[in-house]
Amino acid sequence: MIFEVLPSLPLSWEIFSNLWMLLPLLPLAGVLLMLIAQHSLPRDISGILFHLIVCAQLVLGLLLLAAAGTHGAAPREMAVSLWDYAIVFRVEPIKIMHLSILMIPLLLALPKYANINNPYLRIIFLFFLSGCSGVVVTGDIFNLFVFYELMIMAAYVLVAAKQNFAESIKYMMFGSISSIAFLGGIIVLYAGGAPFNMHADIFAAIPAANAWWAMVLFTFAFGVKSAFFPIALAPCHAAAGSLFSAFLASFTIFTGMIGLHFLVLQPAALLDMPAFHTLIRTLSILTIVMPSLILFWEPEYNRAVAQSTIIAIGITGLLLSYGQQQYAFLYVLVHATYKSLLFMLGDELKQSARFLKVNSILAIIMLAMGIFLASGITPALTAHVKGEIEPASWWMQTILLFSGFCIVGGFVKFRYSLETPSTTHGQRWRTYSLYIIYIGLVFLLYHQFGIPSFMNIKTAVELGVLAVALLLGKRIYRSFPQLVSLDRHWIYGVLNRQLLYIIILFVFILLWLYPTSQHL
Amino acid sequence: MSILIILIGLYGVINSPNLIKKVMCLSLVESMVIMQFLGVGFRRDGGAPILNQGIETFVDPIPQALMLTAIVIGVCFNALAVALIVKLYRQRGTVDVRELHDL
Repeated sequence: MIFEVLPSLPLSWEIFSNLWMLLPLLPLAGVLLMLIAQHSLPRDISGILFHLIVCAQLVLGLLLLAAAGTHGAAPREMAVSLWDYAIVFRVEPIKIMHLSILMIPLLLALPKYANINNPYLRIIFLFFLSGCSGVVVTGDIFNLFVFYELMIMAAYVLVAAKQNFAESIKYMMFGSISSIAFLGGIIVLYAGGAPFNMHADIFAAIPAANAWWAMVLFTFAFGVKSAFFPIALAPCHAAAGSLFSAFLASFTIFTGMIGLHFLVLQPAALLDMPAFHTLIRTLSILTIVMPSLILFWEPEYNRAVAQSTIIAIGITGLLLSYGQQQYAFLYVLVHATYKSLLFMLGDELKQSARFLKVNSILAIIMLAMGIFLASGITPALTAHVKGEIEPASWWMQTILLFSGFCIVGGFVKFRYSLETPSTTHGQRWRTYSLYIIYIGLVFLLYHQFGIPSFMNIKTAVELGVLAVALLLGKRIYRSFPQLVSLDRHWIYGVLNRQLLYIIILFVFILLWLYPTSQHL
Repeated sequence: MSILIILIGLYGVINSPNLIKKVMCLSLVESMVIMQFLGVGFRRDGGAPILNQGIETFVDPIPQALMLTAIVIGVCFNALAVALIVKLYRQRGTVDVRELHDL
């Protein structure tokens, strides 16, 4: 359904494949250029260079997307040499979706790049962009590791840029443990004699025990990277500036889901190991329910937005575990749009206790649109995917309705008020440009994927839930003051306990999958 | 042996209240994983994998090449982590996780 709507610009394969490989190199070349200019020119031209490179990257990405229907509809690989362990680039429908997910925040952030004033922060952002692009285009597991590390290492600095060193260090700890597990999985694959190409066949070509251990380690590594419950990564994303938070929440965190899809769920389906799917399903359900509750009682706007990302991770995991990868990535695509907006709207808001001061009616309308899309209530585009999550299962649908209720209720509880804007003319126009790009993107998505049908009983129930959330959300929040900041006070506590949860997650994964190892 | 040291490192990561010690333990775990990979490529009596007369058995060069990249990433991680911890210490006056309530 989804890949049938890809545009088909007639571009030759030679040009397309070269542009595909150029994607991570362009920001790296930009870094080099900016460093040379910084140290050799008397005047700081990093702002101009930065804007030029980001725009060039955007044009390159959009050009590749425009030709996606011609070359991206079937999997194709480009190896740098014929050697088994050569660097491989890969084009395929999921990769095209992944590229679209990167392009959305890159496009939406266009009016906001001027806010990055520090030349070194601009360079770090280009490193981040290079890592993101590399993760999209790579076709081999070791390069996925390298580009992921490049992206995440830059992300640590971007989180710390707002003096949030504690959150950045925590992010590093979690990221490092998951990367060690990722590297462990690569070792097990290599010890089994597998090449590093990112497709399921390599798992079938090695001894079953190696394949099982590699998949266990990848499940753990990408589970931590994707922040499955009980991994507390949402506050780290919320701690970055609004622009960087938008990238982290709409792209970086979902790269873990790409890893789960390629290196766990696809091989598990090929090797007939359904326990991996049921494990991801169970973790996903936990990742929808618990963050929904946390979001409902979260008193900070940015952290509430970050928790809604974790709920989206759960829904994506659920779809992937049912083999609905097209709908899973459609969900991520829509999520990237509204999540980028919700984070960037953070610049238009001022929070004091439960009061959110918004500087224009337009910002309130945009906020309402973003929250509605996040809720997944028909006719929000995200409602497209709900029917694909085991439609016959009433309790699964109830969980999704519950998460919709918590998202709407969690944002309704804030007290919104208008205040006179203290922004300059230029800043106002940048904000308007953001709204125009956002509305254009939402219109394009509705045009491509259609409006979900809403003349049925399910929609009536959903709208009922929406009404209850709007009417009672604030009252329920106030009735249980002991649950405010649920995650900080009750679930997570100090860092050592959060790190212990990582080990508990690993033991849980091992115990869940242990019975399957008996049949190897 | 590597597995044992990895477990000791993980215990330190979970249990130590000091952020510097946590980073050291993480570095220990990472080093042992790298050692494990180098062990996969080890051949008894193998020479360096350089084309030269008289060398017939040599160790597998792929893990060495790949782990060189992993070591560079590890060094970057350590440098960045220590820099951030120093910044945190200047900001809060402590590196004890029990006193850093927002971690």
